[in-house]
Amino acid sequence: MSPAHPAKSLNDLLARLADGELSEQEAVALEILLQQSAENRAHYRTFLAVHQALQESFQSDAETPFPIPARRARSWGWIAAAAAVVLATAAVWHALLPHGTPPVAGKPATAPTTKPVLAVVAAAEGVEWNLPCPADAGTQLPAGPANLTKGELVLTLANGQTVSLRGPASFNLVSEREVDFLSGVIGVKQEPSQGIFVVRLPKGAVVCSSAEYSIHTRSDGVSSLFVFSGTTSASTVDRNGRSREEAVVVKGGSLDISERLVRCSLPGGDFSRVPRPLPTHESVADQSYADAVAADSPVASWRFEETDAKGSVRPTHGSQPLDLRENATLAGPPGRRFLAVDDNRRRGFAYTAGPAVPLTREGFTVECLVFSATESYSSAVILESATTPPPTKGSIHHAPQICAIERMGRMGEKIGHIHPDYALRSVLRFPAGYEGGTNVYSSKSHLLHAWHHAALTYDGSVMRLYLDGLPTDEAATISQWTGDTVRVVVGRLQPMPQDELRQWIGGIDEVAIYPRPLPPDAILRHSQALRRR
Amino acid sequence: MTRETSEPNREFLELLLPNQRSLRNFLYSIHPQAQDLDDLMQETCLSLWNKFGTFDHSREFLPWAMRLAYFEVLRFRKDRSRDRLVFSDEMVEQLAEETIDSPGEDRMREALAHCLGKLDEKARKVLEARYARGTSIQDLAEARNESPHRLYRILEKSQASLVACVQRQLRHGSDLPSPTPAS
Repeated sequence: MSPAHPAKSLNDLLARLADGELSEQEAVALEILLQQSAENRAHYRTFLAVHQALQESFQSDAETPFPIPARRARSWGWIAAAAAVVLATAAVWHALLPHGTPPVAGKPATAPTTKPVLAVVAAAEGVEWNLPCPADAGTQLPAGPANLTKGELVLTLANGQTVSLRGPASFNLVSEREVDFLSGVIGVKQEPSQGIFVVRLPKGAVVCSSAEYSIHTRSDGVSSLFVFSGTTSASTVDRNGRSREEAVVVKGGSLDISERLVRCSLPGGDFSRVPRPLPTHESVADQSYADAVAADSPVASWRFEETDAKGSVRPTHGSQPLDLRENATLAGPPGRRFLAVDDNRRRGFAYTAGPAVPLTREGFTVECLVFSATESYSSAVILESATTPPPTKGSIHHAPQICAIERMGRMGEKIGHIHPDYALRSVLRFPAGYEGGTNVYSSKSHLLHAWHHAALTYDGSVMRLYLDGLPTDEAATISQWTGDTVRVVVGRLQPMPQDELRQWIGGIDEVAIYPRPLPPDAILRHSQALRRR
Repeated sequence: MTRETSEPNREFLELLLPNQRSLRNFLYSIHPQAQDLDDLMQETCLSLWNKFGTFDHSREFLPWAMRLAYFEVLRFRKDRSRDRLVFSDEMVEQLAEETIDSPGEDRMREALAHCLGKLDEKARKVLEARYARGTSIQDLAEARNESPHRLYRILEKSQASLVACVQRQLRHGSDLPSPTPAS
């Protein structure tokens, strides 16, 4: 690593440290980085010295220079002199050096790094906007206004609604269930499970709980509404923003919203449908990542680069091919291919139906790359027990699980767990089962529309979850692990069509299983071998 | 004032004062928790004064002071062992060893002054808003009718550019390209 161009993660961690916001896990990550090289440590020292110097430099005007102590009368004794030194030195740090205030002073509690995420960029084409961050898929947006000068932008909102915007457009993310739409064309797709969503307009509002609709707001503040499906409520609003005249608009209906609600004046072509979530086009892993994985000798791994004569994914390590089931397919350019699955044309999964992967009591590591294109709770990689058959009676037809890596929905959804919204989850169950076990979650939320490196290590007593190379959560398991052989399910909870699927929607790549817990530096090395933009 | 009492006092202060910043930076680098800095600095100064009689005047003051400061940090960490500490003991020891041998404060400040001079006005304003008392990025954003998010991005880029520039200056003393942040 060049000291002039340190990894962004090091600079990010140092910024968090300087702001007094470094978490315990981030401190571990920082120490790992500092242990890696003298260059990183030199960068660390310079960063802190610059931070200190900047504080002093910009605060020096308010400070009083330290007074050189005046000579005292001869009658002062040694103790008095010592006391004077103590007082003088105390004065030095309180008067000469302006560092008494923690570095977080002056910074608002609502800094962007700590603001709740209200939307994630799902797709962007030709977008130019006034925000400092690039309009790349996966970019997280907090509350606040934005001007889209050109291009097409698709956002996934915090409650799961999908919003498309066609520039030029001006909007303001207000809260999880409210957006101000000031000008341009917006499309909104809202499912019943996503609650109530309010679009405030210059002269009115549109509220719905289940619909797909589009609004075209012109420079004179008049908004035209067209409903593609479902039902919406439209209203004019008074000066206090409260509804006045109201109307229900159903599928195929349209309306102009100004001081009054009147028949729509725009043709259908001026509205915008919400596109389906766009898949990723290529993986972020290439040969350098594969080399990093190979250096740690996985017991089984799949790069999802090529298939054999039977159409199964060739293993890179181990002897088990992954069968592509239903409509799962490989996508992307050679060298950057990945498993592409969704709940539509590519609905399916990959599965090691043949001989199982052995794991011993020494523990194991499961590693993969995941790209989730929707807010749906879904399973990326499952290790199911090959030695425990499904129950012969009841409603479950698949083998019990030992390990899962999943992307959760909102906190509390589906299975009632507490975690950051759209976080990564891993669960271990010993003995293999369908519920219970020990969970860990990523501290980062809204893992949508971008590739992430995920790894779970288990050393026989503690499970550790890593996200993008850094430790993010850990927990001690209560049950005793004695080893087992496993079958691997990729892209779905289990292989049987009649049971709950938790279908993954997006991409999965570079699944690797190691017969031991990898150390933190190995996980970090793998993640750093990825070719991110 | 007799010589016995006044000279150690004056000599100690004459050695301590020009090295205060370096000592404080050293403490911060091995114990990067700003809220503890004042306490650590006070304990270190008292320790330096108590042990000043053992200081070998033929040697440099700062390395001696840093070593005592390191022991103060270890003692402080032991007292706070139940609190969350950023680094392990091993990391603190490694950082301390390397920092004692690292470039002096004066060179770093010269380099920083050079690099600050290369920042554009906007980046400087953002840094000022972050570091000066009584101001904030939020205030600057409201005054300029700009997005705080955008200003934080400028802040991050400016900090990273300054650090890279200072490192280049310390390594080569060269006049390298401007660290003006991207807009």
